[in-house]
Amino acid sequence: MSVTSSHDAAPDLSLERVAFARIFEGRVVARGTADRLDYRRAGGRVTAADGSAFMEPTKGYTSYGTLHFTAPAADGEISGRSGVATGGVHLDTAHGDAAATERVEYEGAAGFVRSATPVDARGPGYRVHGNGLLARADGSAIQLVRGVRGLLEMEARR
Amino acid sequence: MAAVLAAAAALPPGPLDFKALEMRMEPREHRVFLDGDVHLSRSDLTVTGQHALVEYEETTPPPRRKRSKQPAAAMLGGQSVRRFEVDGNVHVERGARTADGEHGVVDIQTQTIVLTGTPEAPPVLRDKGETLSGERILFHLDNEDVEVWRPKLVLHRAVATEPKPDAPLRVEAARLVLHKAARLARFTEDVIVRRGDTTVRSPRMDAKYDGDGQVTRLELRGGVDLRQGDRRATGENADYDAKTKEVVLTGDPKLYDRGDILSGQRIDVVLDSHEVRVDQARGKLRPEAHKDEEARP
Repeated sequence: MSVTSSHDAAPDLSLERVAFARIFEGRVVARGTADRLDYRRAGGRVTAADGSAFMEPTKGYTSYGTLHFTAPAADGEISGRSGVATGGVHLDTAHGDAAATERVEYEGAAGFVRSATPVDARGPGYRVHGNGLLARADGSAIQLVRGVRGLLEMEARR
Repeated sequence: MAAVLAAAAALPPGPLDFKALEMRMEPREHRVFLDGDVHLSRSDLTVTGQHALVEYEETTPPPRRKRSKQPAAAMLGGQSVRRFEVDGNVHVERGARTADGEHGVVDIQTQTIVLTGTPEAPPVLRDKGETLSGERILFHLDNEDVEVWRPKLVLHRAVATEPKPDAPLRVEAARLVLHKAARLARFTEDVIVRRGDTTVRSPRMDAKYDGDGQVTRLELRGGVDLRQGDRRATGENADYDAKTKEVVLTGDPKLYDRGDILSGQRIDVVLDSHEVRVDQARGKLRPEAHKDEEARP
């Protein structure tokens, strides 16, 4: 993965207080805002500051409902379908789950989301802390690695 | 084994604490895998092992938003643990009880733990020096009863330690159920009790305990066959008194001793002295068969 975009080079496009939406098959599948968004045509790099995005997963994580990500900083490479979010990444789901970690990497080609920093997640029925994360982008498995501990509910919450 | 009957209170509901090296969640399959030094605990129950599979019960997904067209849920949260399986050097602790095996299944709904092992290393239950093993051990977490398939155990606490250690009672059976509230251990199917040179067989046996967890009495029913050296005694029932070390056979009891055949109202066998008393005896004696005994000093 190559996401270390050169911050020295002036962006080809720089936007402030940005709002965006992604439409797929006639549906808005993602929308978000950022305080600042820089685009560099070379490599198709995008850099966002104080970004917030709502995503409607079309497969995999659909059961979690709308996903809401926030991150102070995010770098992405559109052509490589990869990116890094840093500075404290938070995820909230409509289903009631919440997760936080310092840094998250997305490898679209491999279909993985990774974090090498401690991860805290909680939701209805569980609370977990791990020292790393490896998740399949298709939602089939979420793996917490390098030491994990937490709580699993043993009584139904209806 | 008696102490096994005295254990902690029922497992209360609440979250299950866990630790492991890795955790893999498979939301679609409603399950979580834990790998490496797995540690699961709830209240006074602790289960450790090398791998664990935690299964969630399938529940109705939360109400969908009006315009949402989400498919059927496959989620982790919003559900509760239905059961979990632990593999690899499984160790269970609850109060004074500990148990070891190769595979354990904790079913939250039925409040049971089933522990199994291998033919070479069967599951073992320990409690204050008492050891019980078998093919399969089932713990009831709600009433603390224990069921054992093909149990093998030594009733250490059924034997006196004064003035000298006594021969232990070794018991085998196809099935054992420990009823804590009744202070009762019920052995069924092919029960064999061995003590020194004495072997007793019966279809079923109840071992009764006192408040201190000491075996006070063994009650064998359904046809009893007692062998002690060349001597054999049979009857419909037999009762063993742990204090006097006497077995009382009733129900058409018969004694076979080197050609002698005696029957009576009851037959008492004193295990330590080998003394036999036949009440209202009748039968056939062959003194010539005992000549060598008379010649003994």
